[in-house]
Amino acid sequence: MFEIPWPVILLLWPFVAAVLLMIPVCREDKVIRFAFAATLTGAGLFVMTYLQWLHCDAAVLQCSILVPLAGYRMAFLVDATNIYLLALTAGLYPLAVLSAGNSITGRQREFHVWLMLSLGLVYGTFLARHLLVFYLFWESSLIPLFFIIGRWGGAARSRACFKFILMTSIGSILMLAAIISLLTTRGQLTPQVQYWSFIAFALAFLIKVPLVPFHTWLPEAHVEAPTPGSMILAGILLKLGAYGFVRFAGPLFPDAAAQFMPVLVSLAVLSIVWGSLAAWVQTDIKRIVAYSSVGHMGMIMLGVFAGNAEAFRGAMLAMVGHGLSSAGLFFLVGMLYERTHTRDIRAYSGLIAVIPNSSVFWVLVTLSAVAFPTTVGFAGEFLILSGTFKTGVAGFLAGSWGMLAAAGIAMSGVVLSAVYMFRVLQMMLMGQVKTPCALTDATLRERFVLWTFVLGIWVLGLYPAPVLSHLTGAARDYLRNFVHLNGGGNAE
Amino acid sequence: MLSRFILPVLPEYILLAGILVLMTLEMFRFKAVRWNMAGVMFLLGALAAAAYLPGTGLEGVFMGGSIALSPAIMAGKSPILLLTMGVFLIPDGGGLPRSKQVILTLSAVLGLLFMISANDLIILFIGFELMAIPLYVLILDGTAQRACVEAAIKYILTDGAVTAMWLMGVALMYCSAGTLGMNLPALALAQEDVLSRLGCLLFFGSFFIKLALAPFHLWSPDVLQGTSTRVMGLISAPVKAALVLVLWRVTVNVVWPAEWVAIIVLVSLLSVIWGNLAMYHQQSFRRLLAYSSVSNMGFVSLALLLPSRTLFISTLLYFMLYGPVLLAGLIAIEKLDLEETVNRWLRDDVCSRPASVLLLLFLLSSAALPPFPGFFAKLAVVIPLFRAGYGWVAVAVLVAGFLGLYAYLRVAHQFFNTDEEAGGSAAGKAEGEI
Repeated sequence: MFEIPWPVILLLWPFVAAVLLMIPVCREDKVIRFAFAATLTGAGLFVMTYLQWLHCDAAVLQCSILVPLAGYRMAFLVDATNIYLLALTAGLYPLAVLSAGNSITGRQREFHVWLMLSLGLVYGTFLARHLLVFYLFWESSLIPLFFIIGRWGGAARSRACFKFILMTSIGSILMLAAIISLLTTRGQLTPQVQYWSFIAFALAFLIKVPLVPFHTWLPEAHVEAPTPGSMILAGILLKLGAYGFVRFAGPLFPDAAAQFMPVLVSLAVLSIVWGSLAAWVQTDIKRIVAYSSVGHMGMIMLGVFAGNAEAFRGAMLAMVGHGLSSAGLFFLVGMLYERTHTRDIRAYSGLIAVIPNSSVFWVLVTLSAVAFPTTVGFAGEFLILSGTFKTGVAGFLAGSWGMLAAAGIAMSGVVLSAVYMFRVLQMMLMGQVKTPCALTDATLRERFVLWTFVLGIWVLGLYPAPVLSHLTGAARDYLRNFVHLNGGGNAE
Repeated sequence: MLSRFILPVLPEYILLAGILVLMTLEMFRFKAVRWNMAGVMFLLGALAAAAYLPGTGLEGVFMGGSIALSPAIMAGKSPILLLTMGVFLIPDGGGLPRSKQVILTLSAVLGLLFMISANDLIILFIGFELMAIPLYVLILDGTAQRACVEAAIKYILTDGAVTAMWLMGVALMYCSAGTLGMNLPALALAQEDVLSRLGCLLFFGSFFIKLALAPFHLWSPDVLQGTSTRVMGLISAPVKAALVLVLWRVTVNVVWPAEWVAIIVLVSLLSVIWGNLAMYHQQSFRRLLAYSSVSNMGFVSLALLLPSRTLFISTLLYFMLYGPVLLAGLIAIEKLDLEETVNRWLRDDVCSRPASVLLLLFLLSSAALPPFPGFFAKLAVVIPLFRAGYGWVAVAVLVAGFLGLYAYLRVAHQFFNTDEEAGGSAAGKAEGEI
């Protein structure tokens, strides 16, 4: 059983499903069922991959595919750094397929083909072991989203999809140049090569995360994308940037990473504050969630750059937590929008009396977004902040106050996220009943999707220990490379 | 006898025999002949000969030093023959009878093969002319009469001027170096007298014009817009592949002086940048393809900076990856009836046709997005450039190539995404109402 290369099958299955959809093997009205079955099968394959990884002695499961004609072996790996992001991917896509039931009306087959391709490419990006393979999947993963936003998006979809692909591609081009340069230097990293390569990699990842000031594509892409597109974008694709730092940029260029750490930490903190303040003043609910993603991703990146094992583990957990809460919130916004065709928060009031079930889900998912204790959002952000404070205090005692200040400012992000998210709840759920049109409560399918989110949020929030214990080794490996270069810090 | 006079040019003989057979059949007006199939069969025969010859161990210079034979030369003929077979897959929309189209196409390819086999500049010149004359007739065979006559005249005038320029260049270099061998440009580049320099400028300048590199590209969009899709494929893929391979032949062991490196980098970057920028506002799909070709030739011409062996491999890879993609785009033009404008969207029934996948493949591949062939074609040039120490040139051309991303995606978006009538998402439609 464990001799079968499950990660390879996991990677290839979505492409097979996409081809089956294209052939086509099922009628147009059965496409959603087929796509759901395909993504569930993908989730099943992930479970097999997970079990294989657990049984792997070396804690790193490796496999490869021989590319015909080229004679090149594409190498893949599964370890603690990517396993939970793979889990998030495997779990979110079936929910995205279910959410497409109401929001996607035309060319359903084509939509699900793009969705399947997107799933395969995201798996490839997380699994890739070699830089060039990583780049291939990383850049390819933009294409399905370009078409999903551009074809099934809102009124300003053209601008949004172009901004999305052009901004993310400009970073990627420089990263490609750096990768080729690394390939030709055959691993001999002079300080100058490290310096420029890190800049190229960092730019690509910062745009993808995105941190302020590279975030301008995000609100538009989120607002214009159809509900499944927003869920995937917020839930998974943003994590690719953070993952890129953890997997490649940090470990490959430790000296340069240490050199740039103050800049990166500053950008992370700026994103937390900027994202939260921008979310506070929005009236479009989707835009609020989009800007909140900028803030939360800033918090995650702070954990990655803090140079502390606790913060690192918190960041990895927060990635999963944010994936669940942001995708859940986008799903809830999509539910409202499909019924009323408006996302203006001022058009809603007293919803708790009209759609009580949905309102409860609004509250439950929002609690994770504001890092309420017992949710996964809390577990992740608490670890990030506590780890950053430890590094900050250690730095302060050594005469450097930068990280302590960063931790202090980042704290405000938690308060601010509570302010703007509770403002949403207060405006929408409380007060006199006001809706743009007659509203119906969540359907069975929608409740199933929402329960899945809520379960994920609370199970991981109440019992994150298994995940965190797996992440201990990953944190050690990540920090071993460069934390000593950054004035000591508190690695463990 | 056989090994000295027939084997070295066996692919050419097979094509010549094919041309004669088809002309005879055409003369007797045989109706049952499937001309495209017959053309492909003869091309396959030539390809088989090109594949067989390296195995015979026959190598060297033949026919009084006029023809060279080596495994690399035979390998160089393969993409030309394969791409011409691909050209026959494009539905013909021209006015000429199919029989004449096939015969003329094979004649042009015969010229291309001679160009690659040539071991002196006289045979090379004969190859040029063998290629050019059938092309003049084929370009006249356009769809829109007025436009195609204009295109043909433009092509004839440009080609005539370029040929004169080329001959003048050869003459000037000959005055200085005293040989007509394929190494004449290399010898002339090593000299510092005015005649050699001017000769080199005219010689390589004529290639730049033929390849439609910016700023010498002005003939290309008009000609390609006016001619039939099939001829467009012929000019853009096999002909340009042959020209680059000829450049490989004449620059073996060449040491580029610094000013020539600068010229090549400048012309190449300008081609990539201008080709990509010019695509932004094109309304005609054919013109867009023409500018795309300018940009692609910019990439290929950078390979001239590479060592000879690498140049050969990079060029071969580039055309084997880029050529089929281009032909896919041309097939899509014909199948989806995309003659007029890019400012339209494809109806749902058109989108479901297999040819729309070809169009998408062409657009995404030309945008150099992985994992499509266009991405790997560009890598085939960029990676060796890094290895050869031209890292900054490679970075510059990658960034310049990025400019094309918007142009191609704009067309993809236009064709596949903005189907307002068929309706996007429920959200999208509803928002329009509110």
